[in-house]
Amino acid sequence: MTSQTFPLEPAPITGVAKITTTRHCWMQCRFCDFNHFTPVLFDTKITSCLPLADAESRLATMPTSIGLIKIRGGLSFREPFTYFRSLVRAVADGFNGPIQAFSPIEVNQWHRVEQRPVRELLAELKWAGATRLGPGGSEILVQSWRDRLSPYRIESAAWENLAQLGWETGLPPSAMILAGKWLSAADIKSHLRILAANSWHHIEVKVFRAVALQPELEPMHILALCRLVSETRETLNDTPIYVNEPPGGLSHDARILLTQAGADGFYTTLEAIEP
Amino acid sequence: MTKPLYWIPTLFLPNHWQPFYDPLAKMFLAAHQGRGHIVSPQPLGVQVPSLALTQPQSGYVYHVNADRDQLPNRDRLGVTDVVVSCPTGIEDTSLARLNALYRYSTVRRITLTRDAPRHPLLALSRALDTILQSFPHISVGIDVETFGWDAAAHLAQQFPDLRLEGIDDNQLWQLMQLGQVLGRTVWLDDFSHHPKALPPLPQFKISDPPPIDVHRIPFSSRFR
Ligand code: SF4
Repeated sequence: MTSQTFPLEPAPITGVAKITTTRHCWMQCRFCDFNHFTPVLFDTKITSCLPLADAESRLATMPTSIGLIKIRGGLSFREPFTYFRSLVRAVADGFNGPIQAFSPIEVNQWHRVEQRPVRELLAELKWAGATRLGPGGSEILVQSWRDRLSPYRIESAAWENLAQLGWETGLPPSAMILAGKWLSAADIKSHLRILAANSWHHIEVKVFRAVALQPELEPMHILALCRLVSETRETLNDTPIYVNEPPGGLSHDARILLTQAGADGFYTTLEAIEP
Repeated sequence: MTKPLYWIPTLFLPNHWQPFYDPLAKMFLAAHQGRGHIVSPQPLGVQVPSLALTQPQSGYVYHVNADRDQLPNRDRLGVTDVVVSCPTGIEDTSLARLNALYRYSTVRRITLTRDAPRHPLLALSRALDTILQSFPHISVGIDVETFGWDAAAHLAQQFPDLRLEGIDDNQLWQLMQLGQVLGRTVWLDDFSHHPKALPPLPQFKISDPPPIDVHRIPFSSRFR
């Protein structure tokens, strides 16, 4: 029984404005809130993505404490790539900080749907004002879990290659691990080993929150989360680790425990802009 | 062998005595398989396994809140359960109060509460270390309601002897989950020591990947 030392204050907390283009996604990842099934048929009623005018008016009244803007969305077949490019452009016009726009999953979709080269799409995102790529698609890179939880995703090797192209364009890619209770110690190890094979701008540890009607998918306990963060710190020793807080945020104690485990910062959502 | 965690449901009866407190206590015990600790202003008319009174009375354990209660005549105290704000240093007034009680009564157990702005996690962890070493013969517990679950979980991991208190029925799942991560069983108990093991939380299997048949729409079997 030894006393441990703790930081008195947690690592810096970054206020995030999260812009969601649409809450519908055809990919049906089971851990995701956006997995309402919306078959793509001729008479499907899906509301369109966030209108640009709405995004602009909401951005004008954004609190000044925002340190990062994340743009993400479900995968939509309705809007062309130019819509997403314009959205990034509109956001970049009113914000000087970092903009984490979309992820290899969306880039892959545009690539497949519009038949355009990936490098070209990335370059246009960069031109529009994005500063880095989000970690979407790397929630779990262990293939057996990928098959169970997000079977329609591209394979993890393809995801990694796509993400690494971001370095060429000047959109540093990031990766994450979704902290769900279903991961065993061995799963975490192999996920981290896959991540350690490449280089990342930062790693996000995303605190999973329960999804409706899926009691088998449980969030991770705070003590298990601390173990996960310290293991990530040991495996990827010079990549910054950010803990992505669930809605409502973490408690002060939880932040201190995670800082002690090796987290370099916290992302907490201050503003959610949704259609 | 790892130490179990104990869940001690507690019923606090308000100071103004009401005749329905007797049936209330009976119902409380029936709801917890005959176990549970009761804190009452006066002895109850029914047989209860574990009782402490908020007034000193000979033959009963005195439940005293050292921060709030006026201490009565010192030689009437007898055995006490002390609730006190966690002392974090030698200068702390709550340490002086705890010392006074320790001198004039037989302290059976100590429950520490947290005063959030004054008690950062660092201070608590050090204070608990000192307290557990200074009173090895007294059962020390923390009040989860004021400590918060995140701090309580960490402290329970750091100090396996620590008792967690103030967990009501709808927070039991938090304790069960803590037991699960720490690999410790959870027992339902009170201070009369006839514990009963609680069944572990249900576990749901994550199903296999849905078979994909691209010749049918929708192509996921989950939505047919
Ligand atoms: S691809 Fe992304 S938005 Fe779509 S269901 Fe999966 S996690 Fe959700």
